[in-house]
Amino acid sequence: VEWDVAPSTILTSDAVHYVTLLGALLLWWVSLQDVHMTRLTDIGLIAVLPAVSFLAIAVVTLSFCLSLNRATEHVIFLHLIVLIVMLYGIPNVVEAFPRLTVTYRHLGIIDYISRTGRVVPFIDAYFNWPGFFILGAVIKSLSGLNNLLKVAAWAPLFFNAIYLPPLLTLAKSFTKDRRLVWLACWCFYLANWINQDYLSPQGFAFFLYLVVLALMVRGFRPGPRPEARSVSQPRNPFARFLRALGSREEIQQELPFGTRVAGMVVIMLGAVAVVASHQLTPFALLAALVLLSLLRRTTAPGVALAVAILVATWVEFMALTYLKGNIKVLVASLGKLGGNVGAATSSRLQGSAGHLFVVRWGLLMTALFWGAAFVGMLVRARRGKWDITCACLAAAPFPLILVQPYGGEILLRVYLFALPFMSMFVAVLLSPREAEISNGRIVAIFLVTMALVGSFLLLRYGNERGSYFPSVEIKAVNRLYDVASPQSLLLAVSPSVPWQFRHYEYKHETLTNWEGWTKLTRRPPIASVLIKVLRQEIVRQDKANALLIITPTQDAFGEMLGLSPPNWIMLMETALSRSRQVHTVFREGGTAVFRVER
Amino acid sequence: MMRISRQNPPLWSAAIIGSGFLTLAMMAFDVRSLARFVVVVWFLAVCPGMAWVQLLDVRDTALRWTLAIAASLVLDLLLGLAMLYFHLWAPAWELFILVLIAGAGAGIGWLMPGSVGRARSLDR
Repeated sequence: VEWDVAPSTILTSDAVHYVTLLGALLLWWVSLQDVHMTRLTDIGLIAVLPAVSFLAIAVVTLSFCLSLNRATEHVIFLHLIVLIVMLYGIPNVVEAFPRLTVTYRHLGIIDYISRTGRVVPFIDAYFNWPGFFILGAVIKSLSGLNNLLKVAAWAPLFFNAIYLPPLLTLAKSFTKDRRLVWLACWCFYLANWINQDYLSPQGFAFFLYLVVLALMVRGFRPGPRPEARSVSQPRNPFARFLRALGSREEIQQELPFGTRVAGMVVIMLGAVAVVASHQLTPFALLAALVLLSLLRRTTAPGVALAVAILVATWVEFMALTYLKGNIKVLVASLGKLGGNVGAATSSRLQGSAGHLFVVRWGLLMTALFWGAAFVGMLVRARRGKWDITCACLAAAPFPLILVQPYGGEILLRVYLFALPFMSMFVAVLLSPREAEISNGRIVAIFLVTMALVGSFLLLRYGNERGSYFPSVEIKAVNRLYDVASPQSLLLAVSPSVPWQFRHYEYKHETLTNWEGWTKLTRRPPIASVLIKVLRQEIVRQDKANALLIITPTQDAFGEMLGLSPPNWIMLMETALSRSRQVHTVFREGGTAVFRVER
Repeated sequence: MMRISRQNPPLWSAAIIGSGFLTLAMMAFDVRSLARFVVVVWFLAVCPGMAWVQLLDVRDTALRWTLAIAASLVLDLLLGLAMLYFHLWAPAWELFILVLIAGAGAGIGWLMPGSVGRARSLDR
């Protein structure tokens, strides 16, 4: 019954779905016009989203459930696209500029390469893996835009849209059940709250990671042995598992020779692009390919070896500058499971009550999602479908925890790399076995979806108070660069500043990184003390002057993450604005730029 | 299955050649608008790859788009990377090379419409 489709009724006809989707999209867009970003709290965007926006997503979910009974792929595909827009496009409606500080930093690297036509490996790690930034520089140069500030905000929508074809290819390679395929993609988008799909090398490398694995699984997987079917199944589940490990899975019709050759070319060139673009993704890819080869789930085990050689070659010849400066740090965390997990969990548990709630919810959801995936895998096995390849790809990223804490983000990255395959197993729990989806099943999918939507919005946009930048802050940063010179030391108080998108090579520093910062914040800010500290830093860095930018977002970020007492940074702004020892370059609505001479 | 004959030029070939010309024209006339950005991204993300993938017998729509987008972006990136490391950084020349690559694939698709017809058959 896997590909059988129920006859359509008036309620499930294509036209009704199109109208429903259009109406829901319109409802969603209109509802977001009422969002006031000034009312953000420490649990983020979810606190200010109107109930009608949830209603719009609920309508799309119901329509999606009903569409699963129909044959037309286009209709179901459109539901996925609308879901992507509604989940990932919210900032595009309610915010004028890109969110997240890192987006601006990446724009700065793109701008630097586009301006100078070269990469300078000693500036920082990004220039040792510049592939994505070179692509960005090509696009910037050809687009004729002075900067990519406005268009960078669309990167999450673009990336999530291009993830869909490889995700579908992967899911279709694992099952012939059409509804399971679409539900797996549906679950992926509901659970991709990791925030790595902004304008970033990892967002791009994740696309190539999906492509390489999709092509490997679709085009280079051994088919079932003819004799395997005739042997009776053992009763012992463990014995059945062992047999499944040694057996082969059913695959879709084998691809024509020409397509497989093209697939292999894209796999190899894609691997080169991943290796040149990001530090971590090549290792995740390598882990997946090695596991596929070891468990004999691929007819092209040489790809793992080729990727290993590529990674080693790149690190040895192209990223040597980074390696030389960081080899001790890299080696120190090798094999330290407890330390690396601790960096990803307990060390993130600090800050305001709202922020702590978001972090704890994230950890709980990660555990729940993985738990649900495990149950889904067992359910499939009980039905006689041993998805060894999918399980192996879901497990492959976990050894990365042993290698690196990755700035306390390793658990998040492992979650992302495993997500496409975990989603497949979670979808098993939602996927109906009957020919037509029952009302009970529709209610189940609807409730799970809405729970995941709530969770997604809380986790993805939970730090929005410290990630959202009003126009005045961009204006202040532009003013800062207008008066800055290579001899200026550019300072921010906390890291949440929309800067570095111009003059990336200038010296940028953050005060919260200073050793004496915690001691400084124990008392209310005094202008003379602050100026003394700033002048010491100007001398230490051998600069002519310092330009200090203070913004309300820095204050919110500092308070949320426990870097500074509530309102301390704004008090600092007031204290400095009254001092005669500093020159005020810009001051508007709590945002200020001060210049301190040496 | 949708058959496309010489009398009815393959849609993809026409779209790719048209996109290439449009991108070059916008560059030549230095059009300063968001439309140019959209056209450039469309061309770079889809056209070079699709120009060649359309020649293959790929019946699965998802697989066809996977190959086309990945091939396009990887080609853009690696060409830019090579030009930069060999001190030949010139995005306009890179675009010109990509238009030639896309044009060659699209041209073959135009002259051999049979393969295009197979590729456009619906995936079941």
